Amino acid sequence: MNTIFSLSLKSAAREPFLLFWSILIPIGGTLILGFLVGNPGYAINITTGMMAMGILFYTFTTTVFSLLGQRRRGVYQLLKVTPMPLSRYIISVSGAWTLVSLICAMLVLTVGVVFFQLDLAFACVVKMGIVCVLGATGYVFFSFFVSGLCKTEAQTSIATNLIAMPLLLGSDAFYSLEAAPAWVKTVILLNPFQWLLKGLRSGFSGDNRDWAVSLAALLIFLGMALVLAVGSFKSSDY
Amino acid sequence: MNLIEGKKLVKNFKNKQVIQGIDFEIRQGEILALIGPNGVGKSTTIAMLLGILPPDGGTISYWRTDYKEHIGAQLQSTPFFEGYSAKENLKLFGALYHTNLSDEEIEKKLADCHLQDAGKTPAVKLSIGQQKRLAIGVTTVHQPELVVLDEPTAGLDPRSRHEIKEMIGGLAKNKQTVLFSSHDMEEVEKLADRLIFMNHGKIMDQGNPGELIEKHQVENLEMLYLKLTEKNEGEKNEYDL
Repeated sequence: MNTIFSLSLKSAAREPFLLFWSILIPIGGTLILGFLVGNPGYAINITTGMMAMGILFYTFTTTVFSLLGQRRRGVYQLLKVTPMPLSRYIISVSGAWTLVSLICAMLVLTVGVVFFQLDLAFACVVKMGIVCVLGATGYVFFSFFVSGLCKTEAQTSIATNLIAMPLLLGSDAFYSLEAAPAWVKTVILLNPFQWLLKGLRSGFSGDNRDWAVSLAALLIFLGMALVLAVGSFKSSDY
Repeated sequence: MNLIEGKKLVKNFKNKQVIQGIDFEIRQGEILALIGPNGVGKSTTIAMLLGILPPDGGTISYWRTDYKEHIGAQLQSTPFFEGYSAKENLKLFGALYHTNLSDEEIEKKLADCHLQDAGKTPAVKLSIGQQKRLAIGVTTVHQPELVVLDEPTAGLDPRSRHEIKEMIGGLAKNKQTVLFSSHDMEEVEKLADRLIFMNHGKIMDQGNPGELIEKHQVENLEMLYLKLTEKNEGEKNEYDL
């Protein structure tokens, strides 16, 4: 299991999409938007927005493509032949992908803290880290489900955009939704990306109640994603 | 001793019965060739034996309960992990079979596959011939008692075919049992101890090459192939590994 975890980690770190979508874009975005807006109070919103976006793009979009590639090459068929239980393999690779996304998110946070002189206590970093892990794991499990629905790269591209974009745009990652209509505010309660953001922001601000509620929402999302992933393995041609 | 015994195996895809009640066994130490045109059910049969597909009828019995620890299988597609080098694939497959390979063992395995200079190359970027050799390498990383190879030489040039045949011959010398599927009669003639001819999801005949040639009064295995398999190239099972 350790070998699978460490090899998955090594392979994930070499992924060019990771470098672009989860490191370069979030860090570049944090710096550019942060300096353009020029409001120190808004810097944490931008930093956490970019952290959450990096997590979403890596643990959902990149992994859906990666899983499709593995499935098409017959990796999951072959796993059924080996004595390694599928669940152990999935836990190992999901763990590695989650760890990679956590490292990327912490890198973005470090850039935000350094360049915008954010005052961040260690306990807040831990709280934000827990949120990152829960959110990332949920997205990884969700990516197993979505990948099971797609047969080609074109379908995967459409599916990931159709899912990731509404999650991203239907949140207050980069703009305020305070003036949004009531129904939008209600719908947003169902958006796991918004809970990831809220968890990160409340982790930073020390609002324990909001942080706990966000964790609970992310746990529910994780549980649902796990059920979908398991169902997808049982019923599709994984 | 039989390693695997299949009795009255049936497999349906939608309304079509693609495997129609076949009986056969894999005997310890033999090289068994599963022969037939494309789409007659060879891959489906192998998938059922390996537990990838559950049969819709019949039974499969194995020589031991922990048989998965002792089978190595290469499916039609070469399922390497994308983003991993040849070395890393060997290490990863070792882990999947609960075998922790040292660096020396990996180097030896690469040398056995004639890939000593390609260890750091991403496996999916190797030539098809190299990939097929690596596929046998990862299949046998845990020294399995039974090696199952689904069309191991399909799409290869003569030199690569020759190298694969040598590797399969090496497995037999190592007293490993081999089941491989093929429709290359030259390959079958050189390697196999026993043959099973399949057509339209049924076993048309089985036995050792000499016996079968004599029984059907044909000149060689190619003539036997033509006699036992009607022309149905191009038909495909819905299950296609």
